[in-house]
Amino acid sequence: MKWTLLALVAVLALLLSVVLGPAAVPFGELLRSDIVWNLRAPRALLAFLVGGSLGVAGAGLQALVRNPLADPFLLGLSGGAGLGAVLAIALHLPGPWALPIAAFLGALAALGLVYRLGLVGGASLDPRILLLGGVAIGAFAAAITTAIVSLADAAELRNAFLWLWGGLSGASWDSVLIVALYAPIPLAVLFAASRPLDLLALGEESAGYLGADVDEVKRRVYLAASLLTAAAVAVSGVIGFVGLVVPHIARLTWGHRHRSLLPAAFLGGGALLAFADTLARTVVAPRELPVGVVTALIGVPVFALLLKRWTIA
Amino acid sequence: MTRRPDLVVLYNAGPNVTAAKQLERAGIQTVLIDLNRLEDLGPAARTLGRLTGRQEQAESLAIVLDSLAGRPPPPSTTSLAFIVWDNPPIIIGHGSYLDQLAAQAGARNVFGDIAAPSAQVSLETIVARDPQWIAVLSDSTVPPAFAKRREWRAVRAVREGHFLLLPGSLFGRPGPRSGDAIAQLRARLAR
Repeated sequence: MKWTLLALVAVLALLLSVVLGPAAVPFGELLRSDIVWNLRAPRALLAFLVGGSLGVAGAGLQALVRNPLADPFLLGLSGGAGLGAVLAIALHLPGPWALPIAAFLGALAALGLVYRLGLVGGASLDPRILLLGGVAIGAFAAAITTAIVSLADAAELRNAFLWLWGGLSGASWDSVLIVALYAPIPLAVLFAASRPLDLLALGEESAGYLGADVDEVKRRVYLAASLLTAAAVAVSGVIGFVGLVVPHIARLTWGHRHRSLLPAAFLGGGALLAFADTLARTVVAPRELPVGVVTALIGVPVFALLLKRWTIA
Repeated sequence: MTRRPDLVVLYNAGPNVTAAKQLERAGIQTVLIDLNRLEDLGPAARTLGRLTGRQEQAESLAIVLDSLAGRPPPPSTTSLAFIVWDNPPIIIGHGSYLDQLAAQAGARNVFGDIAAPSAQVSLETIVARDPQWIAVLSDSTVPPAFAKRREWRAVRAVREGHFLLLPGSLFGRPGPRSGDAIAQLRARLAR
């Protein structure tokens, strides 16, 4: 029953994204409208894919570092992506895809540095070092970004921050195709790690006794979740709260078994972001709100309500 | 402060207000000037004339600038949207100096109903409002990179290559050359 309900919510969120928008498209012309086919439909699908990816990445990372506050962007990726984006603008890199590609490479560079830090002294991806390393690398990248922006003449460089705050304005069938081809691989790696992630919740030593290859699982989950987040940040900037809140909401309803939790986080994250983006486009039309504001405004009260019900129960 | 200027002219905005107070405390004369709209030009010229002892010349310039700001705009014959940034799309609204420039040049800003100087909008709103021109502050002669992005091709003016690339030095802010900016924009729209 709860799976049917979640699937219905996901379909409804996608339908609303396509039907509603700041431009008036008569209901009878929805299927023929360029606005629907070329703007709303790819944007709805991209929102769903990005939200779902962030939900799964958040659930995976929270299990990996065994910290409920873990967020896909806590591990330095947003700082790296921001630095990449600002460098793309400062160096006048040509082409319409220069900024997303530079952001993706920046996120990968941050990922690589944090990963190396996590292995220092044979630490085998110690969750504490990953978190501290992520925060440190993120802060370092943010400091360089701020230095470049404050020293540069170009006013448009400051606009890089607008992109970084997150949004789905850049959605097109091209970006949907790229994410649709790319995301299934890290998603499959994370879904395949469901059982070892359950064991990891018991502690690394216990997980090892129960047959999990702990080091291998940590490496796979960290890399897959980070690669998923890097792709999300490249196409939509840093959209907060989805990766933090959705896994908790899914956990409160589906429990701690990752076999159920991860698909629920994907559908829930996708539905939340698609719905949030519809609100962002419509509630103050013709103006638009940054979608991260809406995800926080929806996600946090829902999370607080579920938490309260869960605590009382 | 080490250069000990006689007067420091600052744009009237948040951090500059604090800087002006600090400079005044150090014994350096300052003036904060509002320079956001055409109607700010005349008062700014008079203020600077008074502070530099050139009141007569300043008054003569201020009269010209006041007439520029007070002139009723001609009927609009075309429409445009100023795009400040492409992702997310940031446009210029009614509160901006650029909106005044467009009106004086005979063009209707399709986002003139937005009171703020600039605002984030959806791409589909730009498509629906269908401006005849896309105006961008740019020193380049080639269309901006977003012109090649598939989602922006949904905007008719982008598809048809109707870009107005306006040099920032002339169009970026109100100044004594604002009259030139209006004339140049009018000429480009007429082409």
